[in-house]
Amino acid sequence: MPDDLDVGEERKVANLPMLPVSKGEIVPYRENALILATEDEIADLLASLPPDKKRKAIRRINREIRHLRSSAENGHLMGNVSIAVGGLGSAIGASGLLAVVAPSVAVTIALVSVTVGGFFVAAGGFAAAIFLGRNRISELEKAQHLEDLAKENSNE
Amino acid sequence: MSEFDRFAASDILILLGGTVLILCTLFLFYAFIAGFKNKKTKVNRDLLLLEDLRALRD
Repeated sequence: MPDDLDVGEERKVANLPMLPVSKGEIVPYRENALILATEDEIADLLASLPPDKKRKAIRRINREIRHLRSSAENGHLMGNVSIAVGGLGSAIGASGLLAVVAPSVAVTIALVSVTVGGFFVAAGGFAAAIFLGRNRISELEKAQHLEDLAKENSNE
Repeated sequence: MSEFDRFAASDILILLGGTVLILCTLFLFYAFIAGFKNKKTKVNRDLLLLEDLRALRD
């Protein structure tokens, strides 16, 4: 495959519509490369449509925008809950540190387990929040791009 | 506080902490699985949108 192709062309040449490109990436993230490539294709398709079909296409794009925004809202909620879970895990992990004053060996072992578990859950919670946040940002960006495209084409 | 009271208190703390940790772990599994599923769906929806627009053009 030639190295001087842009992201969209590279994807077409590779004939891999379901997979993100792996060579000659222009944008920082693979999923964004896929999104940008698809948006270029959508823009080309919109430009080639006659006015009556263009209106239908814009309605379809608006439906997609609504879906993306509601999905981003759900992601926001889940991200907030993940942060709360992370905080709770940290608190439980810290409370398990009472192991240093535990009355018996059995309780010490249990409290040490709580500490380890708590800090693992905290790490998982914050990691989930970052992961969901990145998903949400890419969804909102995509919705914005699609909205810009729809506006440009509805003005013509 | 007697030794028995201290033991009961730490016991409750462990049980409560353990239960909350299990619930939190289950939620985290759910969040990660939902996130990955959402990513897959996103790619499929992109392609569906493209297909619909291509159908309008043809």
